[in-house]
Amino acid sequence: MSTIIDKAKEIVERNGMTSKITLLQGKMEEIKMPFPQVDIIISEWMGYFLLYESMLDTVLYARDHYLAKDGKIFPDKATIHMAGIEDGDYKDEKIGFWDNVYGFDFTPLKDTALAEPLVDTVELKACVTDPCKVFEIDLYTINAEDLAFRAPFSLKARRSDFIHALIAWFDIEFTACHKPIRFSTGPHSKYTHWKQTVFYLREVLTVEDGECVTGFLASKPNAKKKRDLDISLKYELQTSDDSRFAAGGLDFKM
Amino acid sequence: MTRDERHKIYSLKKSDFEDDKYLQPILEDDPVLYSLEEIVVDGQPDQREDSAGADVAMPESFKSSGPDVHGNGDLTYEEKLQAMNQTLEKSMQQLDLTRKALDKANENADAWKSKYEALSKDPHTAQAHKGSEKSQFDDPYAGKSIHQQMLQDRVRTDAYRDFIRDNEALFTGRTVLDVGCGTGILSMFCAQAGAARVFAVESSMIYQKAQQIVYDNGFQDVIKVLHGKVEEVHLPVQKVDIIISEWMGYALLYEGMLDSVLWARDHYLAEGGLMIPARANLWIAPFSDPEYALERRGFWDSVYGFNMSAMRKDQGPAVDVHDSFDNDRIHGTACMFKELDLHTIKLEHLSFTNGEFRFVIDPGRSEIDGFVIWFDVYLSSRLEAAANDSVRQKMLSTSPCCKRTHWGQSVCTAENPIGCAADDGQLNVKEGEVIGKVGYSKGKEAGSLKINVAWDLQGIRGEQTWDLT
Repeated sequence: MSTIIDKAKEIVERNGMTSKITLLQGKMEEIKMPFPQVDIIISEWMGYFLLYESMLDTVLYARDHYLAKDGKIFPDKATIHMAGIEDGDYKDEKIGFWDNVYGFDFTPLKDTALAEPLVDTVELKACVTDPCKVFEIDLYTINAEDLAFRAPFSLKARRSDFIHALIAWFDIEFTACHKPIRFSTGPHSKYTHWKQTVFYLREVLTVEDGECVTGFLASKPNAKKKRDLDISLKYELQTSDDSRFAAGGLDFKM
Repeated sequence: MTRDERHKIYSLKKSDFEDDKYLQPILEDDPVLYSLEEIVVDGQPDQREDSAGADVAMPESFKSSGPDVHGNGDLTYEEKLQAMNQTLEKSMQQLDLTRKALDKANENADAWKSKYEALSKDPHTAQAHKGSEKSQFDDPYAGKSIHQQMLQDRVRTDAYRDFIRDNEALFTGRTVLDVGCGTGILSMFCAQAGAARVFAVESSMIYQKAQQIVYDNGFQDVIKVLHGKVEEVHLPVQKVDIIISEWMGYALLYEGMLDSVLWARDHYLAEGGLMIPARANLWIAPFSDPEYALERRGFWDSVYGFNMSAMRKDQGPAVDVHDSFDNDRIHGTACMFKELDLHTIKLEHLSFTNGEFRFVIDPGRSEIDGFVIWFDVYLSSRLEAAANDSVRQKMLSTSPCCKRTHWGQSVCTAENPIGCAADDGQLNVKEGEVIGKVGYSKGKEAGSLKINVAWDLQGIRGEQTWDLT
């Protein structure tokens, strides 16, 4: 069990807040709360791709058991967005690398590389398509079962270019604030440690300005390791040009 | 008199000048009369398109003013001027179109950004972080990409490859044990060099990939990949001729893999067998960087205004691994404080307190903020190389003076600037010698390391322990 709570206790004391802050060690589902209800639940639970290793389950448990009627949750809204990117050079570096390692064929590791989403910083100029809102969470109403989702997306290309990967990021909102506070972890925003999540396609899509890549994004907790995610992506390039038509499905483990 | 005999004239009238007959060339299609712009090469006019798509081919008026001097489409100066003006106007229009297109592109870029912004309504939009952060130390999937990181460390992998390639005779027909083979790269280098048999032992799941890679590269008859700890696997032979391994961790001994390699040596290495690497040295040097040290020491003092200095208590300061410590910050001579002979060293000697050092601080330096530690390994032993001229030595160094490796250097920042007493804070470093001792011991967590440095700066003594976890 993490012992950081001991440090937290000391820090609270040093800053003269012991009368206000009570530190309890244990899992949310197991501890005994000294109050039956609370007015506000605050938590920084978000993981990469919003849901990887996220503590959202725990926050929802707390909501269901302890949040007073009309109580508030901070933050209360989270949204996952997607876009298509051109990432030829880096893909070569990360994936193509395994084709020839000191003259040896290391392609078995290429498959592993492709099956793992990559958490990295993506520049806005790499984005070829418009962003698309894919999945929204309202922390007041969502249930743990709803976190296994399958949602459609449609990404419209804004220039003629290649698409090597689809990326995902999330936005967070605190709507209860008098002036709503929000931040994004998108490629257009300031750096955060969550960066963006990159899903490499096995093929390269050649898209023309105005064409759409449509598909579905599905995510569910892994059966064996609850904090891991099984993600699948289905995509299709909507084009009238037969030579460029592309469609596929990919599975990822995060 | 004109050269054209048909027009012998003895006197000229005004009307003669107005008549073009004297301007007709003797030679038809006289090349001297052509201007370069009028020479139309196949396909050329089509290529001269501007972004707006309009043709900028030579205006018809110009084309006809050259070769065609036989009466059709003759132009006066006024007409030629008019044609030029038309061309100019056309060019101006095209420039305007280009300008508009550029403006539109800029607008689109802005609109696009706004679209992303609008979607998230994020007031904090700033320039996207410049230069993707492709830091290798920041990867949450270290399990697989650590192998990419190591394979891409050219200094490291080249050293092993070069050594094996330069000393094939050492490997030909031999039995080799690769401890911790990872993706199998070292085993394949050995097989390539003519090893008869290679046992590649790997305890992590990456062994499956190693098996596949060995097969895909046709080495399945030579290399056998075994899954498990070297202390536990069943080796089909009693002894091996060579033990090869890339076991080095930060500050050399972090991760504690050397323990397993020495176990393998004691149980499997034939008499006179080779350890690769054969020797390792540890080095220490003083560094001075008051700004960095202050930041490092003071971080927890004020975090968003709260005092979090409790984070430093009960826990030794940490060793920081720097990707490539700036040589300019090292202000003194470096000193080797430990030599490890991998053929003979005992396991218990991997924890020691007698790593003695002595270095000289650069003149004029007023503050020493801590120590930098790094290592070298020699792939061949001194004896082997000396006794046998044909053995080519290869040294792999992680010194701050050398090319960057994924090990970087280990930096131990002292709690207080060295040379001053902890309570009075007076800086009192004199130029000259510092003597001291480095001690390594194993930490509580498996693989963790505790580094202790005790120093004596002409009577001013101090000591500190850092954790590498």
